[in-house]
Amino acid sequence: MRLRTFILLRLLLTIPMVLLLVTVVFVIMHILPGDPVLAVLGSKAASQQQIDLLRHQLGLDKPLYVQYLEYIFGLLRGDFGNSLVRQDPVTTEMAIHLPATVELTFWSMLLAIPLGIYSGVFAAKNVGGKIDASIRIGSLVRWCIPVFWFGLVLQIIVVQYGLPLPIAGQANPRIVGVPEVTGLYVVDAIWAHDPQALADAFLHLILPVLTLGTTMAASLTQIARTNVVDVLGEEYIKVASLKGCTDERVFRKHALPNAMIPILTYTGLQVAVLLQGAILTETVFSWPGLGRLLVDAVGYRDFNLIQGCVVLFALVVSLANLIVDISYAIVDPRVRF
Amino acid sequence: MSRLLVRVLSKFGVWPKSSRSMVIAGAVIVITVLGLDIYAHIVGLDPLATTYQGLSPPSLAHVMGTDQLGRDLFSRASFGTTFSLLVAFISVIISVSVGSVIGALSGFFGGKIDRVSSLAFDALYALPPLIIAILIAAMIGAGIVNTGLAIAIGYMPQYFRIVRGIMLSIKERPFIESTRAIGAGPANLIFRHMIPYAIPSIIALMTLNMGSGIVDVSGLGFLGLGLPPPTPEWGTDLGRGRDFITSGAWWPSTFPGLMIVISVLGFTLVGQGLDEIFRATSTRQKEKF
Repeated sequence: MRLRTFILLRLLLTIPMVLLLVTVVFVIMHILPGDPVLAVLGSKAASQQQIDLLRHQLGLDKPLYVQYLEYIFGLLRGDFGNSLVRQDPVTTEMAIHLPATVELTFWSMLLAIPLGIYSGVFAAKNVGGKIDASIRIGSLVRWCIPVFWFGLVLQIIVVQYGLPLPIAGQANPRIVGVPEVTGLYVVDAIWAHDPQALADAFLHLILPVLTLGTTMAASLTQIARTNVVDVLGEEYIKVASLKGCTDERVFRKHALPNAMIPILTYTGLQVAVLLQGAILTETVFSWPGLGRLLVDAVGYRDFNLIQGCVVLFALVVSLANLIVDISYAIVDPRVRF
Repeated sequence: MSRLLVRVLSKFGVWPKSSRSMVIAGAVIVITVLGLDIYAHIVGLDPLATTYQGLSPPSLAHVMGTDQLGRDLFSRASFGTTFSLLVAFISVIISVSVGSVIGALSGFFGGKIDRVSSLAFDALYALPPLIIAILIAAMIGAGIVNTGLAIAIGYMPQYFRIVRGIMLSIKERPFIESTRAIGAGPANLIFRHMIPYAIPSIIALMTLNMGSGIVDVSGLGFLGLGLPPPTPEWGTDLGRGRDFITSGAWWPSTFPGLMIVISVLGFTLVGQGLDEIFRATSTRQKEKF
């Protein structure tokens, strides 16, 4: 199969996958008990008339399949419905909160990918030794620490030792005078040539990025180590060293490239874990991103907003899977056949 | 089941040494945590009793200090074990029974059932378990069974995939064919002859998921979607304690978290160790053929 055909086929396969994901979310939201109308009005205060009126306005009095089709066709037009509490479109709400999450996850990945892969490979190089054991134990313990507790402990350390670091929020309101161009504070500060705002943006990023980044790094370390160790046990590694390659060369030229393919795939799949961690990290650090929006929406029982956020997360995850598959096919021609 | 246990334990000496020490270390941790819980019940610690000293730091009277209402954090942390482990256990039981039964049927019968259920579980697999749990917890509310169910759904695809894969790989093996030849029906074949094959992998996964289940229970609690107060639950407790960090009270949010980490570590060690062991023994079996 040629590369172009593979990519085209994979793109086409994404459509039913996304449709199915949206359907699963829709089914969970509409089949389970829990009435959005009563949640908005409050169960005692509302009269039957009010309930019927709101139900009609929200289109909840229509048959389920009509609601489903309307929702799907709305999504195709980029319409996620309106927020039940704030009344404005869900897409507007999400657009406001998206940049903060992008910023948080971008810097976390920038920390996690080199750190995780490097320490995993380093452990595998010294397999069986003391370095290997300590990296294994370290990453296992870090993996067992829940994201939110790690964040809280960082906050406690900062408060107890009086370190000059902000423990919550995305920027200091007194410093922010930077015009919003992208919504990404770091980019905006650079755009406006404002070093003070840039420093402030980075200071606010330190704790959340440490929290989320090391979580992802811990699982990357484990997966990188396992894969490199597996490859080192292969026959062709034995062949390479028997024909006289130095250990360094065997490791670099023969083992690493082959181990890297599954490691990179796994990194792509980590996006789902990253989003899950982002929800908790954003809550710990009052970070105004999508995760915070989702948690707040759950608090207000704003069902359209909840549904919108989850569908958006699902879209991001399927996009990540798509990118992983395509890059896999480019790197490793065997996949295409 | 007991026969299986004896068979597994009889191979104890053959297990790789590093995996064996992982399982033992993990088991010791889990037993310690459970022991603390049982101790709390026997001694009759009261997680709800209030004293007049709110937010007092750790001392001899209160080893972990007290929370904002003056409740002893040690009693709450030990009692919390009951609830966190119970909810995690319920979620594991629900997801293993639904996931592996559908996986077994799907792998055994193939055809349309297989295609439809594979697609559905693939879609579910793309969503992180905690996001599904938040969604469902928001819909059906909290409670021991409800929270367990909310967490369970996100983990079903893992059991589905494992069991379905094993079914597909052993379906054509001679011992299944001969069992079929002497007249065994599908139910007999699946539940008596094929599922036992998957049990080692299922047990390893269940242990690992007990760990992730505990993290998810406390995560929901932290987000305010967990068991309703005044239930002593680690996630809810440390979430409430976080309001007092800035005023210097570090203990209400530290100790419940420590309990989470310790118990998750215990289950994860056992799970990973078992996984390595079963994987090693199954490759050894394959080499024999």
